[in-house]
Amino acid sequence: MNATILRSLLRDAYYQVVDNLGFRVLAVLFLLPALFLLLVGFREDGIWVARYWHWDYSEWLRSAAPEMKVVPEGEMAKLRADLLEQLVSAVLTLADQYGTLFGIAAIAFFVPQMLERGAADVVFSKPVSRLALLLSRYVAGLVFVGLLSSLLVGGMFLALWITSDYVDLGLLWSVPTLIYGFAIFHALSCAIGVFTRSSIAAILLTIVFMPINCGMHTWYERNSVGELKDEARVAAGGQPTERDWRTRALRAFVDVYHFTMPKGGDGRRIAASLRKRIEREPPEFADDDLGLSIAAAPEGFRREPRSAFHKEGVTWIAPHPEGGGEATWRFKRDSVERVGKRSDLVKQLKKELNADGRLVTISEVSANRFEWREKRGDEERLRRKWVSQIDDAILIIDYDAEAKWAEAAENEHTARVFAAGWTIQSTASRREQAESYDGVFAWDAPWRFNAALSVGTTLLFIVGVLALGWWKLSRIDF
Amino acid sequence: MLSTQPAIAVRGLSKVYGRGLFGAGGFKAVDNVTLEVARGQVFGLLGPNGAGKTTLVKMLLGLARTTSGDAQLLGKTVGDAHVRRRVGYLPEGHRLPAYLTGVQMLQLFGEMCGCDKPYLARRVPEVLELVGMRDSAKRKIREYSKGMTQRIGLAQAMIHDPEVIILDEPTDGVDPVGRAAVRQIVQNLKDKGSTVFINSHLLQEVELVCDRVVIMVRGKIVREGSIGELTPRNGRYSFELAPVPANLRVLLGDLGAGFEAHATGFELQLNDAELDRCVDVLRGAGVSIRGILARRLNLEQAFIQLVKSQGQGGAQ
Repeated sequence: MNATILRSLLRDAYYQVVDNLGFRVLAVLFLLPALFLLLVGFREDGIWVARYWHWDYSEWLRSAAPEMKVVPEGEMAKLRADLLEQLVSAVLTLADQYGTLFGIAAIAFFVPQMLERGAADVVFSKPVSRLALLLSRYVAGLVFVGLLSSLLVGGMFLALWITSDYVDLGLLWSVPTLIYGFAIFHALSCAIGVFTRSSIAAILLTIVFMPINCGMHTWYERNSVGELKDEARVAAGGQPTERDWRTRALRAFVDVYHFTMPKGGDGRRIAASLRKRIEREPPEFADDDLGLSIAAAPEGFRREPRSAFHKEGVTWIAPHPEGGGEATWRFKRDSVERVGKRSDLVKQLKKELNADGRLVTISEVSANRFEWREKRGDEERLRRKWVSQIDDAILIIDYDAEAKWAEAAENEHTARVFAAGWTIQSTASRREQAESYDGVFAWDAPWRFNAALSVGTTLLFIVGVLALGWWKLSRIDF
Repeated sequence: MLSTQPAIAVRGLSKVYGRGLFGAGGFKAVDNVTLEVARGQVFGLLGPNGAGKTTLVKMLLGLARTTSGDAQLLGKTVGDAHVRRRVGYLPEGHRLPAYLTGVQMLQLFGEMCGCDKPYLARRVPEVLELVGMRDSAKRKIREYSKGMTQRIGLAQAMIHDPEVIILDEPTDGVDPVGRAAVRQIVQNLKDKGSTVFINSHLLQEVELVCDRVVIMVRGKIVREGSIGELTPRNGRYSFELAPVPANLRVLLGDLGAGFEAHATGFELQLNDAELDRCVDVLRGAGVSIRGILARRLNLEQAFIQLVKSQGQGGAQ
């Protein structure tokens, strides 16, 4: 097949797609989120509707927590990011599930129509192989969903950029992910179309296969997670779960199904991890045992690892413009065994400072926060201390700054931004992640959770199904 | 240098549909057909419904697999993609991509046949002009009438200037003016040296344009020859007289059979001896004979006779 023929087949695929009524309807629907995001801007200072009505995030936060006097800026940024994340995720999930469904329904006729009497005679009498013609119809489907995905994702990306001043490059990964998921079911639809030469059969059988396939993989994921928990129990000296031969046979069947059939859902997992990788730069400091991560410190801050996190701690220093009297944040990890429980430490601090600490949360864990002033020479220092306990570990964050400098609005703002970047994952959350399919699924994970294996077997399924369709097509007498 | 190889050569070709697992049973659509179509010929394939004509054509184009036998197009085994580049095909009841305009469809099929852009830029308007579709070329095919679809279908079969063009019912749904245009196109193709293979049930059309005709019945070739060979004299003679005598019937007496008078003479069924006697009688009576025409069966009559003799009715 030469370049001219290839070009003509691709152009034909494009014409077939843009002429399709289903495509036009879906194109309008897929543009709606972008239009919404053009109209409604999620800016740093609040939600703007048509650049006219403004709604401050702080009003929302205060209505949720009336005792809050000043809303930390980090909280507002977090709320904005959460809102956008939820909105985009909801749209992409809808597009993935219903878009695939409607897409299959809209284009399942491509292959059966090509094989209809009269149409097949014209097309198959041309000097183009049957495989090329089948693949051209398959590519037409990918063009269909590729254009729609680009409209949806590209539209949302631009709208977020224009109206919300929010650039999320990771969002663009959703285009190949949506195509990937669709490519699986479209290949099946094409093959069924060749075997049955019926659009209705192609639509119905593909749509029936979709939830069955999803259900089987969900079953596999549950089994795998169960096995992980079992392994952890055995490692801790417990007994493995006893299973009769029927259960074992069923689980073997599910395993075989999982490793041979396409895994569209994994595409979403891969895209999500790629998105996170783009979205979130690696933290400046992380302690995996504690689940602590500290995002990039504000400009001008320097880090000084005095010795180690669990010894003297890690310190960030904000320089004082007049030299000396720098503001420092010292993060130190200790153990319950050595310094006692958090409650003991809090009691001790209350007694020493003669003040009640405030209960706050640092992302997922609670902490006691103390604030006091102390004289050091001529200087008055502002001191803050956070005490938190994660299992048997104690985290102490110590803030020490010249009071006047620290209370200046811009420095207070910088401190809040820095604090907003502190994340501590709770033990339960870390355990849940470690024991969830999403948590263990990775490119370098064991085979049963391996992303490369998932993509490989899925692509193999697509190739296999199309090869089966081609085999049948090559045997049809028109 | 022109090749001396036939355009189409078929030897012992058979097609059996619906054979069982071990090759038993099934319906024989084409049964041991052997034929040859010379280059530059306009060839007609006739036969009643279900005679196997379309199956034969589809085997020639690789649209249906052969069960046994050998078929070659332009010296190459059928099914070869390269040889299909040199063949144009207009199927019966064809369905063209409705989402394309006439021009887009011609460009698509032209490119599928390996034609480049400059060639198509010149050829597309030319072919559209030829089939009388220039004004409707930018409309979507779904908006075309049946006649227009037939004409644009003919255009797609010719877009790559093929050496062999196979037309299955080319005048189906075309009005009389369009039919005359199709006949002219076929004539032009022949003049240019192309081979035209026509499968049609419009016997008059075939009679007018074909050099050679094959008649198939129940998958087999039952007659093959030129139009002259397939339409033998039927023994009737038409006499042109001047003047026509009033007592003509009395004058001829019991000569021949099936007497029919007409304005300038008469028609009569005669054998060779009776023909001589008839001339003698008329000349003896002082009648001037301006012309004698030996009548032939037309193709339709010959076809119906043949099909009836094979025990199958219904012509296609």
